[in-house]
Order: sequence, then C-alpha cells, then structure tokens
Amino acid sequence: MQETERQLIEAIRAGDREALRRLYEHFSRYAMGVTLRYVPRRDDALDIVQDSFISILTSISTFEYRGEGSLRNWVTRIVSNQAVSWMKDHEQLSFSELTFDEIEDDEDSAIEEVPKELVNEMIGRLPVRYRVVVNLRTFEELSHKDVALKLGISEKAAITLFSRAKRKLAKMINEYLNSQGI
Amino acid sequence: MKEEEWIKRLRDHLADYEAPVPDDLWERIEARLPQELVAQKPKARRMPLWARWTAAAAFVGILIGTTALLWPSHEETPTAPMASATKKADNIQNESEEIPMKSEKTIESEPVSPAVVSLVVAKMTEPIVAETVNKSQPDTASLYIKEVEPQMAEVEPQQPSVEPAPAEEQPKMEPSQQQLIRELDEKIAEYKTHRTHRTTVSLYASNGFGNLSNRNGVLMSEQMLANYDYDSRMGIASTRSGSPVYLANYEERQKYYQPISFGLTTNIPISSVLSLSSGVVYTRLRSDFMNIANSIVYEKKMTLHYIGIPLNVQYRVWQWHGLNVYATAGGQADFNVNVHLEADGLDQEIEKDRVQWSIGGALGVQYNIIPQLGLYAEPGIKYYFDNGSHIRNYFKYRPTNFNLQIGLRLNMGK
Repeated sequence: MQETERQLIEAIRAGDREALRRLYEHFSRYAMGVTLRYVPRRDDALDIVQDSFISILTSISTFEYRGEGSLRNWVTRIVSNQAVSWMKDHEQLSFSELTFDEIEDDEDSAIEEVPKELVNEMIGRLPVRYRVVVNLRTFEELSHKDVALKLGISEKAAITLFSRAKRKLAKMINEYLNSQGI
Repeated sequence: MKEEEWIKRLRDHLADYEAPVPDDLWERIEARLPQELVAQKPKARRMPLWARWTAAAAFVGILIGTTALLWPSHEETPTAPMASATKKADNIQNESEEIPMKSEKTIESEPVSPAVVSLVVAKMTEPIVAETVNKSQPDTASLYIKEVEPQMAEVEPQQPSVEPAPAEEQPKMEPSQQQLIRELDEKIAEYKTHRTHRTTVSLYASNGFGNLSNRNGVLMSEQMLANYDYDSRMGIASTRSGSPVYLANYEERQKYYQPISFGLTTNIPISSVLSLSSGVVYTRLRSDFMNIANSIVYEKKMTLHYIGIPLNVQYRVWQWHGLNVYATAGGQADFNVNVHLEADGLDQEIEKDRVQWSIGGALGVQYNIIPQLGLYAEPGIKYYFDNGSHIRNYFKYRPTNFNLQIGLRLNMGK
C-alpha cells in the first residue's frame, strides 16, 4: 500500500532520512512536469527542480499538514515559486509596454484530445509573459488579483495577459487537432 | 470557451502529468543536502530588524541624554554683561546701604532678555527709585531689582540721589509699586517659561489601535456569470435579479497587524509657543493573506519596513510646573526600504511599496521628571493617502487610524 502524505511527513519528522528520499521519489517527476511548463529547456528545468527539492527538504519543518494533497500542493508551490524566480533572473520577464485590448472569450478547443505531454510542451512554448500568467492562474489557482500582486502588475494587465495566453494556446491546440484530422 | 471552465479542463488534463528526471538527480540533491541542512540548523538567534532599530535609537537617546545631563550648565556662569551688572549692583548697594535689597542672595541669574530689561527700565524711571523696597517682598522681586538696577543707574543718572530711610521706618509699598512688582513677576515668569521651551530630542514608540481581520467570499463577476450563462443554467433568472453570486469553495482571508513605529526626532522652538519637529521614524507593517480554494490553503505573509521623515508643528497649549500640554500637526513621508514576502515558508520577490504620504494631528501631555528629561504621551489621528501601489497593507485598508505615541524627551537647552 502506498505511503500517505501524513505517514511520509511523520517519518521525516521522526528523523527517518530515507523518508526524504521517498518524498523525492514521490514528487520529483511531477515537479519536473510542473517546471517544464514554466521553463521549457530541460537543463534549466533540472536546475530548478534540484533547487526546489533542496528548499523542500530543508524547510520541511515549516510545512503544516492540512489533509491528503496538502503536501503535493506545497511542493507545487515551491517549485512554481522557484521557477518564477528563475524566470525573473534569466528571462526577459518584463511587463512594461503592455497594451490592453478587448477580451474575446469565445475560443474553444478540445484540450483532452491532445496528449498531456504535448499540452505541457505547448504551454512551455508560450511567450514568457503569457507562460508565467497562465501557469499561476491555471495551475496555482491564483485569482487575477493575486497574479497581479505576485508579478507586480495591475489586475487589468493580468487579465489581458491571461486572455491572450489562452487564445494563443487554444490556437496551438486547434492547429494540432487540425493536423491530426480531429 | 468560458474562462473558469477552460482553466478547470486544462488543470484536470495535466493534473497527473509527470516528466522523467535523470537517475542521478537525487544523488546531486543529496550531495548538497548535508550542507543545506547544516545551514538550516539552529542559527544564532538574530535580533529582528525592528528590535535592532530600537536598540540603536535607544542607544543614541541614552547617549544624548547622558551628554545633556553631564554637560556643564551655562546657567551657573553669568555672561559678561551679567557679571558687569552684578558688579554695578554691588557698587550701588555700597553707595546706598539703606536700600534694603536681598542683593547677596541673588542672582540665580535668569538672563533677562534685553526686551524685558528695557521694558522694566521704562517702568523703573517712575518715582520708585526714590523708594525703598520692603524686605518682605518676594525673592523674585528683589532679584529682579538687583539685576535691573545697574541699568537704571546707567539710564537714569539724572535721578536725584536716594533719600535713605531707616530700616525701622520703611514705609509700606504703594499700590503702584505692588502693581509694578506683579507685572515684573509676570514678565519674569513668562521669560522663564520661554526659556524652558528649548530644543528637545524625542525618542518614542508608537502604534496604531487594533489589528484588522477580514474574511471575504469572492463574487463571480457579471461577465463570468454571463459567460457561464449562470442564470438560465440554474433556472433562477427571475429570482436572482442581480443579486451577487459567490464562488463556491473559494475564500480570501486577510489580517493586517497594527503598525509599530519607533522614532527619533528633534524639536526646535520658533517662538515661545510654537516649535518645529522632524527626524527619522521606522515603521513596520505586517499582513497575512490566506486564499482557500477547495480546501487548498495558500498562505502569504508580508512584512514592510519603512523609514519615514516627519515634519510637525507643535503648539504649546498650557504649562504648569513640569507639566506641559500641547497640540501637534504635520505630515510624514515614509519610504519603503525593505519588503519581505513569504509564501508557504519560502521567500518571494516583490516590488517595494511607493512613498507613503500621511498627515496627522495629536494632543500631547509631557511631564518633566527632571528639567532635562520628560515623559510624554501623544494620542493622535493619522490619515494615509493612497499611494497608488498594488501593495495591500494596513494603511490602504484603514487610511484613517488612531495611534498612541509614548516617549522620552530630552531637553537640550543652554
């Protein structure tokens, strides 16, 4: 039977060093998947995952267990924060000169028809500003207001960027589906 | 596709997505772990920034206070003109022994200002010079006469010589004399009061009243409702009639802790009742944010550190012995020197807040324990202008707030 998050945390807190590895084994591939949505270059993503796990394992004492799934959410957020921080340092993550346009919300796409790996890769191919906003809004489940706060931009800018990212991603998905005759 | 629906579908589709990692990644992490864990081990307990600021301010305050207390008082050394005045007074006394003045006791020497002296001289040109002063008169009167007399001697040389009267035959003072003495006493008292209103250095702590907690449901926007075609789906078009609809299982909680400030200011008198004060003030703001979506909790803790420069005008309302009541009003510019955002125990980057302007007023009470040192309390009100930044803090949530400032005031006068 698979070890639950509670058992894993209790083992780590009891001083079981092997439990640290089990935590890594449990979440490392998932963390890599998350990271590649932010930073598509694999070598860079690996650096981020590595730094993230060092943060996770050294600050595990600050984690507060709030039910099954809470450890996974915590890991996700640390990886996400590490990735955003990396993007700020290494990519041109600038939000100046942003123009606002009308939000068109009628794009439709059969996301489920596209392989997961490919959707993940498509998100990674988005322009850096779209990429970070779509990740925070979709996978971090932040409101537009919180995305704005995190990135130091206005809420309107966050909404506009997300709308454009969504449109672009939908277009990529549709192009793929068309190429596959779906 | 509607935004929320699209987000959900995308999130669900990639919920379990995993990408391979190299086999040696754990070894690389583990190789760094011991060092990281060592670094995590009980660090020497660092004093918080605000405490370090306080300690520094306290040190400066104590240093200044000690200097003020130990500095030789200039009041004990008469100035050259005063010495001259004393000498002349002695001479006059020698020349007219019959004038019974408490000359030897004298001169705790309040350095009477030229304005006061000239006024008194004008008064003293009246027949009083020919009179004697009753020994029973208050010290202040005799002291004053002692100080002023040399001036009289110089200004009124043409006055007829004094007719000495035997001590036992001293006449009672005329009402005009008593009136004059009273006026002189008042002038001296006023001058003393003015003198006590000296340059001061204040060291204080201040805080706002009460933490603020807030707990909100999050409304669906009208656009979102329209996108979802919410009303017709729910079949409540006729009953909802524009009432707000809250997002299910989503909640925001905020807690804004009361601001804490420590300041070091200097107060410089510009008249007998008005003074200007300025200095440097450290303010710490702390806010906690919690977003709860489908029981997933996302926590952030933000701490803002400001260094402010106040400029206030102080008006002395009332003074009695060592007690002083005053009103103060002015403005302050606070510069955000550091901001720390922690999300789930990890540090995050965030832009600093813009300059925070505020205006305020307070009513203060000061009690001087000793002439050089007073304790004061200032309950007041402040208004913080919206600086247009996206940083959410106590000032934005409650722009008008009451505060209490308590401190020490060191009198630096000569």
